[in-house]
Amino acid sequence: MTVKEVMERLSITETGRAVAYIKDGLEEIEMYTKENVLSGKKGSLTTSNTISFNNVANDDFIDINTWSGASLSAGDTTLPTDWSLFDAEGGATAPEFRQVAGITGYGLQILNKHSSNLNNRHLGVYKTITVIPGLLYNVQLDINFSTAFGNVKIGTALAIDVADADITSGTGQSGWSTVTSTFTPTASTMYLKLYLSGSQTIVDDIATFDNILIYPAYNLIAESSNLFTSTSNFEAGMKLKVDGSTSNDTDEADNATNGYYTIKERATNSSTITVEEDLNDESISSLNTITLTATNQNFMDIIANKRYYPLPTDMLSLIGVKAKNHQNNQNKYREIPRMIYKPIEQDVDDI
Amino acid sequence: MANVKQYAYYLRGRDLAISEIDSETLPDGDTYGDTLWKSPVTTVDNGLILEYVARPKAKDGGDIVDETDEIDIGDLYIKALIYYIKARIAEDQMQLDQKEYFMKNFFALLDRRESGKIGTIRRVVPPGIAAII
Repeated sequence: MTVKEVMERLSITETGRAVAYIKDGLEEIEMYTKENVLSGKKGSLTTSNTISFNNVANDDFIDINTWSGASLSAGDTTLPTDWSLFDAEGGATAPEFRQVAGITGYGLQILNKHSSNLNNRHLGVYKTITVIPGLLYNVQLDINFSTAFGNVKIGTALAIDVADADITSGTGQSGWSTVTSTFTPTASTMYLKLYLSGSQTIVDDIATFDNILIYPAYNLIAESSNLFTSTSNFEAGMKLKVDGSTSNDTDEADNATNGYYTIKERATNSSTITVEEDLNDESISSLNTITLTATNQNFMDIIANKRYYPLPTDMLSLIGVKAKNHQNNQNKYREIPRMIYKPIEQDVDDI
Repeated sequence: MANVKQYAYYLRGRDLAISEIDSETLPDGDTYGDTLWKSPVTTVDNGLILEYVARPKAKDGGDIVDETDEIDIGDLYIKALIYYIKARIAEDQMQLDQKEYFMKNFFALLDRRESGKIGTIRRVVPPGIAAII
């Protein structure tokens, strides 16, 4: 049941008040029933030739800033290289394409030549792009729509409005402007479509596009055998430790000052996880045996001479504590007892 | 092969305190003994696992913040939650008899669910060897 449904059953109109009551109620229920038990979850992966690291800031990924193939003169229908004609409804008079001055270099101008206005028609160019499904991507591009309705969409199919990410659409923007947006692809091959449409778009109306950048929002750790599966316990929010890499080990280094990375996302094709912390670009190497260990917040490090560890903020009731190698030397986790009295020996720094 | 450890814990405010047995030869005059409970002696990566009860979140795993979030508890508990919120609203309006009525129904529903989980007889058995408190 959603918050809205609860609100309707209670005739509450203030969302904040309802959410506060719901949270209070859930705490009361949980304190009584103790059903929502969270325990340790761990993912571990050791491999010598499948893991690579990619700091997104160092790469352009998809960077479209040239339109070779399209004419520098007016009156030419030649498409730019690697792009195809986009005529969603079919049978329209082909638009003209031309390279014109953009904010930097040349942009692609699309000029409508269809005899009537473009109501219910969508005309322009498209190309396929390869992305990683399930990861958040940033999109940035320069646009100059003049009087035409210009559109930029990214979708899983050529058909209009089928699972599309609507990057931008608009009209009447005078001069160049830079648009930014985000989208999360649902497939590895997506269609990038630049086109004119709209009932007010008439013959000789133009829209111009340039400097299209599409890149992941977070830094990437890729596994070429797709082993970051849903059952491997590499999930968003987990702490990630790296050992054995050339330049990305986590040990309170500059790129992970707290000693670990935090997983932001896991690609739906199990190929990649992302982290917000800085990474150093590192290719797959058979020379390094890399171990990735992901743990949820229920795992804690025991630190020498540190006695006190903050309990999770969402904890309502502690059920138990297990420690590694407690009364064993086989790396097993065993329940440790609760002390009735504090140790007589004072902690060195009392923190 | 790892060394055998001996840990115990206690709670101090919002902190979990971990203690470990360590042996050392004490100087003359220290009569406590040569086995002491101290702060952890060595660092152990992922050395602790906590098991605890947490407040349910939205079904997508995030916090409950707006009207579209789906509350991740069973249907019977939703009924109890409705009674709880009705009680809170009545309390805000100082209608204390109504508040008590709704809270009674709230706990009755929780009890019904709790009873429903155990279909057999209840029997008290002695605690096992792990029940150190």
